[in-house]
Amino acid sequence: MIKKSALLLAAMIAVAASAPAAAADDVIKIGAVLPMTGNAAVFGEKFQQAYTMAVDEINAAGGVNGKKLQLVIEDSQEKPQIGKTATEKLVSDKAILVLTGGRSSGVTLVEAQVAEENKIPYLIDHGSSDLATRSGYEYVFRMNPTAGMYTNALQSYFDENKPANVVHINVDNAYGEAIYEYGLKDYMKNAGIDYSVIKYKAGELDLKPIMVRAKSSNPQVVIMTAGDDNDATQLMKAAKEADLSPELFVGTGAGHSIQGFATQAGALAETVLTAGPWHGDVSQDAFQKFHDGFTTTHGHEPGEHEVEGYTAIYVLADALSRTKKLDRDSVRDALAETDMNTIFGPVKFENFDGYTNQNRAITDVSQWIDGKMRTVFPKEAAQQELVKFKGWN
Amino acid sequence: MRLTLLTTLVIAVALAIVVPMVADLHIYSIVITVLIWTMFGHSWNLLGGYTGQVSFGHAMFLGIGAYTSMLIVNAVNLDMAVTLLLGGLLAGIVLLGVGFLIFRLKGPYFALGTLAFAEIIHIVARNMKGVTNGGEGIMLMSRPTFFGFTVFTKTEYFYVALLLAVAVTLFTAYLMRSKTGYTFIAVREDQDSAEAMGMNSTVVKSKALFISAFLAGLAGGFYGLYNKFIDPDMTFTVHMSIEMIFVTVIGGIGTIAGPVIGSALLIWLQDYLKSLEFLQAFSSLYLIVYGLLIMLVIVYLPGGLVEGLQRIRSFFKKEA
Amino acid sequence: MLQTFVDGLMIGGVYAIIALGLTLIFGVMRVINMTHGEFVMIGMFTSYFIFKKLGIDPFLSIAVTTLVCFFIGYFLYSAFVSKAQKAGEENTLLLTAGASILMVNVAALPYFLGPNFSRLTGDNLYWENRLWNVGGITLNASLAVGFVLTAVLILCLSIFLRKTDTGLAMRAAAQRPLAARIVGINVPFISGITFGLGAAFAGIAGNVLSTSYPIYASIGSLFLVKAFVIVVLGGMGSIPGAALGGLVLGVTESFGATYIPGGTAYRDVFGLVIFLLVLLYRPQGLFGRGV
Repeated sequence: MIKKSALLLAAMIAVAASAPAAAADDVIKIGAVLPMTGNAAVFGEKFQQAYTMAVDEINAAGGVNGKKLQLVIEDSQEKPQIGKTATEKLVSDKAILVLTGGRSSGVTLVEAQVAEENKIPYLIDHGSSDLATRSGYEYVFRMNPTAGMYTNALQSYFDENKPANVVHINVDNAYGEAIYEYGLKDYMKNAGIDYSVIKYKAGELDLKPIMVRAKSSNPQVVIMTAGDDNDATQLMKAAKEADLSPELFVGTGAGHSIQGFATQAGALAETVLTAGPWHGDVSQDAFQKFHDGFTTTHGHEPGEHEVEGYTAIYVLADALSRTKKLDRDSVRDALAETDMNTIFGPVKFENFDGYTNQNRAITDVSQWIDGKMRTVFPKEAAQQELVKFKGWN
Repeated sequence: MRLTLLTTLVIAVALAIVVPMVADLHIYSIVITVLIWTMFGHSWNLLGGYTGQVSFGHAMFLGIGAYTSMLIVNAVNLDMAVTLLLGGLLAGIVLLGVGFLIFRLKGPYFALGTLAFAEIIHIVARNMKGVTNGGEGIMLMSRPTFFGFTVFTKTEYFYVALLLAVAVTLFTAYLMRSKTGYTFIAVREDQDSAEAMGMNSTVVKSKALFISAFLAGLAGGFYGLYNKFIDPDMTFTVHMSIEMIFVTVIGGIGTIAGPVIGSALLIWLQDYLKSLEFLQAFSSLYLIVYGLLIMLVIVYLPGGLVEGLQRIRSFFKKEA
Repeated sequence: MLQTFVDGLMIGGVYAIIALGLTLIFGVMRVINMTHGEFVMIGMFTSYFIFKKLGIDPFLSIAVTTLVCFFIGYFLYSAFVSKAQKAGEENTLLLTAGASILMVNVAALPYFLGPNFSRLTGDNLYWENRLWNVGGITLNASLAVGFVLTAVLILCLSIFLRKTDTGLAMRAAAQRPLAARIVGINVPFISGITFGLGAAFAGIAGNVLSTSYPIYASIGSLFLVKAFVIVVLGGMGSIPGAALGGLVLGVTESFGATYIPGGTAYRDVFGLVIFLLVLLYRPQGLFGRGV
């Protein structure tokens, strides 16, 4: 019994320790924790595709100061406790100088904690949990808007077009909580708008009662928060069944801002708005080049996630090119001094309103027309006019 | 008993010496995770294996322990030794009340009842923003101490985990050799006969439930403090309940070695399969293997790996 | 109010058909089947697959779905469940829990559903978002047809169990296996058929739902708990119980979610509390024979 248990333990340690960690001299490694399996795998795939495209481009152009970039991905299964182990595995590899990825609120938070503790810089490219950049971490940077910031553009729109009343159908997870807690709650109170929230469980199939409830307030604007395209679609289907007919349907990014929503919801997605991170600076040539290249390679247009992932690699490459030494602390310092223009807009990390190392990322309000998502607000970035909801017939 | 004590101490000392020598962050994660799941396994095993009450909702105890510890440490940073005990106690007490109700259910209906209860607590935890901070979860804000020593680095967490796992293992082993332990087994084997002999089966089951919940709460508290973050979906879910069961069943239900072997195997297997290059495309393969393993164990090897090892041993003995 | 009631009935009809299969397996055979939700998923996937590849209307592929689920169910029973049954009911619980994990993750392989969400949509799909207006009440077309289908199936099943030889054999094998064997009934075979039939019902439910709901590997878990709630509520082994239980649950959830403040996030709690109360205080449910 003793022998067998000891053998098992020894074997375990041996295999775990056999992970190769030899660092080649002409390679710079970037680590990323992504949900490659599980319900969020579709997002993991998006980021992997975007990262790879950027890495390949940079390497083809000669790399960073002559060294090639190498991407190392670990699967988080979208679970924080697995994400923690995954992050630690990446941190153990001394050749990895910087981290990115995370995706979900929980995993992003855990990745940030591990990064801060182990003094490795971490660039958040999508994770929206506000806490990650509200905890005073020195090694954690975020280039994308937090969930609280997602609705910034929408708030500006409401400043100009104040709605009589708003019903917010919110999902009961961390993402939904943040959208409300750090974004809409205070704005609505200060703007004096009649605002009520109805919560639903993520994955809930029968959303009709919620829509019936919403309808009873006769809202002018219906805001919906959905973590994935599945929920986003069920919401619209239920809205149709309940004959809920506001002036505007507005999603808050995530489920409402990905192609999967248009595919699943079909005609029901028409004129649905979404407020969240903008999906790139369409006026830039670099953006068009990325857009066309991605569409050709992967068969569908890149959305907000792909733009974020692609940009993250370029931001990291920029920092890596400026870093005094190829070690984690120096890379961190270089990252802190980032001040560049990207296809995702300007990236510069600042401390403000309780956030540290947070980029004042740009958000917009986009609209789905004919299965394509186009910016409609603010006017300067608008690709087309905002159209009101046309009713269910 | 002495063999168990000896085996446990030898393995513990071996780990205590060897692991810090070879371990990096990754190996520490694996080993600590195994130790945590060993504790969860022992907890479930006590109620499910030894007392025969299969619970499908054990995650609720671990969750209560996790949230209690996290909230206490964040608020007043009581020493872990105290906090974990409090977490365990709260889990045990709160659920004793439930136990009186739930024990009216027998066998698989008990399992379903615990499942339902755990799911209710899960939903409540997700929505009680004021207490649990809802889906956003709670981050560890202070550095906990254990008997005065600060626990912050991986090595420090490792030693605490090892200590706790050894304590839980030895406690369970000792308990099952005591009179109380025998009453558990009696109730499992034949509840009516046990009652005929004068045992109050409800009291026996309640004792088992309390201790089992206590251990789960204790381990859950450590789980939370180790991950430095908790949310309802990594504590109160059916997924956690089921893993607690299978770690024990695959290892060997109703044995002391069972949870240890089960956790070691499953956690290691999961990590190993993830690292194989050619399996990246089939990322759900680990779970397929896991599901299949359970089915095969239940049908062909109900005593788990412990039984398997014993069979191999007796096979070789016969040859000799 | 009437609309809410009808909405509840529609959902309830779907719940009922899933519960019907489970009450056969659970109530008649005393097997706790944790894979029941997965058979719903397989039903959804089958109709999706047939629609995508052959363009056949999902309601027409019910025949295929029934056969697929029946055979998988029969195989699962014969190869695994029957062997685990010998060691007790908790064993089948654990076994089917493991089988559930296996089935979900096989379905998540790229060959089948993959990890993403799929939807049965198409340009010429009659059922897509189809609503019928009957006397001022809106009905989801697929659910309405499903409701009628459920009623028909319940009727057929009752007749089958009471009047046909196989049906009687099924009941005999479940109630008194030894006596049934003595009388010449092939108990293992009949038990397998019962299990397969239960699985087939779940599959039919999935087929009906495939046009209204997303399709993904782990969707089964959403249905499993509800099915158990209904079976316990209606009485284990009781077909009218399953039917009524399904409708009651559907209507309760519908009203609770629509009218009780804060009811939407706690929606599932209603069913779970009912479940616990029934288990504790009236284990035979509304119509059942007892635990």
